[in-house]
Amino acid sequence: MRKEFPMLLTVVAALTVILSQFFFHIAEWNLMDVLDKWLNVMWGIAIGLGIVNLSVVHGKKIMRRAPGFYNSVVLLAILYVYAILGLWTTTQGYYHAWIFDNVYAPLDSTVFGLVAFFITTAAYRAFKVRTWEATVMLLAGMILLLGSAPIGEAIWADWAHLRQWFLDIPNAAGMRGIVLGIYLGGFATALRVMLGLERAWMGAMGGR
Amino acid sequence: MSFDFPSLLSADGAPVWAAALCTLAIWTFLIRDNPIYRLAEHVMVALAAGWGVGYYYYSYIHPVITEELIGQGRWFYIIPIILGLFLYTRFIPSVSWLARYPMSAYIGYGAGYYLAFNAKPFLSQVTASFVSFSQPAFTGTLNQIVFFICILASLVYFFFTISKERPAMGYASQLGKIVILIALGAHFGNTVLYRYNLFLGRLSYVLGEWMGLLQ
Repeated sequence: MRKEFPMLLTVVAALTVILSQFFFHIAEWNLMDVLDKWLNVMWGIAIGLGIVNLSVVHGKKIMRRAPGFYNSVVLLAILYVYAILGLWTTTQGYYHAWIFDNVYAPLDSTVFGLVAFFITTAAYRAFKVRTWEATVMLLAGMILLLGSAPIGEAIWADWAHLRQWFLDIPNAAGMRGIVLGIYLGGFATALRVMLGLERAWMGAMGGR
Repeated sequence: MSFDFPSLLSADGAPVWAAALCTLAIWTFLIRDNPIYRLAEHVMVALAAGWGVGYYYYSYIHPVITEELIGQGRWFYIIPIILGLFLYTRFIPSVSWLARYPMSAYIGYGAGYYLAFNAKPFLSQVTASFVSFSQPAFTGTLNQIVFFICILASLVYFFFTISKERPAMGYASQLGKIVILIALGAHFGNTVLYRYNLFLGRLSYVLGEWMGLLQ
């Protein structure tokens, strides 16, 4: 029951998808649609797991009066108020959408934009010419950056053409090799999961 | 050049002030880690998680309960609800193994989906690799030859079961490594560009929409 049935469920779910795709008569039963809806419902319920985890982690910080615990108070208050507002008015409700558009969206894009500063220093560390491999990466990155930024074209008019050639030929070929490797690795892993050879996803769960 | 802030109390101005202050709160991190940044960070996490509750409920759970379960009496839709609730058993050690049930459905679906639907894009990638060398211009032909050689070399690099000690395999593998490094360098350059794009978008919002300096 603890390991065998989940294994069986894995095989049944995988076979349902595969048979629905390859056999017309099975596809007519719409099993794929039903399975899609099942998984979406489970996916929706799983969001609560994140809420519980956040509540536990920040609840402990508040109980311990850990440094910066007031941030945790704010986090939990906003989390529950916003979640209840979302359930009450739907995500299309005026106040819910206002907060999303004018508070969450700017915060989110600014945090991702902030990475620009750190990625520059990371680029310096990663591309610093130590080995010939790092030099190759440095050149590729520089050609792409100079070909995309207006300053590149101001220095040399053909930077954009060189950038395009780099993207179309060596970059496309390198990515193709990587992508084909990923596909083959994915097929092997999916097959191992289906055959029950790959069980790491079951986790330790207390060793049972 | 003069500042032209929107009215804080107007319907049009309040959103701009909110967005601009949120942006500035995050940017304070550029000076050093500080309480304002940490507060903004916590607010962002709270809103992201809180938004997910409403979104997932109305997108996935509500339609199934109202339309399928109650509307059409399809009782078997109670099964995913129960399986979904099994995920929470990981907080109770004695029955935590029940959480494997919903996970097994996800994993099985993912494996099946990969095997059933990814064969086509995989094969299209393979066929697209066999390019025609017959091009109207000589540079076109040369480009296609270089492209084909680069693909072969990058694939050779991933052959771990064949000895690279033979000169032909060794050189091909070395060329493959260079090609892959170029691809990764270009990928990194693209990421840097995208992040700067986001930053410049926020900068133009603060200077233009909020301060009114870019009119």
